[in-house]
Amino acid sequence: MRRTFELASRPDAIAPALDAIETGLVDVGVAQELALELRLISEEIITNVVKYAEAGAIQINFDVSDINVVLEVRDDGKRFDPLGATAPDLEAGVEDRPLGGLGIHLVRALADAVSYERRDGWNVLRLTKKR
Amino acid sequence: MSLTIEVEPSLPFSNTLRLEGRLDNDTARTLDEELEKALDSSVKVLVFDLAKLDYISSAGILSILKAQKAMTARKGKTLFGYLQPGVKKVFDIVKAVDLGTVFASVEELDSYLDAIQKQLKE
Repeated sequence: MRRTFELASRPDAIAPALDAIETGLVDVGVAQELALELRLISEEIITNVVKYAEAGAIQINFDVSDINVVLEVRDDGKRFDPLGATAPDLEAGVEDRPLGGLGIHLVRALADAVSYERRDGWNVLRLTKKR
Repeated sequence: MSLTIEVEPSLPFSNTLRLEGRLDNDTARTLDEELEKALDSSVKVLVFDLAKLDYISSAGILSILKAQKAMTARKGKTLFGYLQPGVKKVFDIVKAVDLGTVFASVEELDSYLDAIQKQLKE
């Protein structure tokens, strides 16, 4: 089952889109716990796009099967691979901990597989989450 | 999604912040504003009661990390009372807290604070 969500790349568009994504997933039978994790993954990716990609439009596609959920986030901004960011130093003590990089780290840790490609002028981030 | 924050001076030297709802990119600003007030100079122990927090994103973790840094700088403590499983998973992934500062229940946390208060009185 496929669902598509579209939003303008603006900070005020993020929360309504995430609400629609979460509700849409639950409506097609995804468990609340998994829907919340997918909401979190979506929030981290979309927030990065809005902040850094200089995009006009963002499109989120979900494919839900009995086995997994495949999420694809596409944006029409400049080339931007969030997976290329340096992993944050999580071993440093609180006083030395850097404050950035946690969003993509969460995406990598929560997804079972994640990949990036640039396709026809769009950034495409694709990830899979088992049900 | 919404977040409610209740701030309670739990002991003369500590403030407890009770969060209910979701801590995300939108609501983290609200927490930052409350933390500015809650972190007055006399506070030595900052307590996050997260029993009713059912979602946290990296924006929320950032707010909490900044609070921990502020408390560490003044040689204070940051404590956490009960993390729901989804929130704990996020904390574990980003190693947001020292495990010794997370309490299994709000009651356990209250007992710890009582013990600190007794020590201060002796």
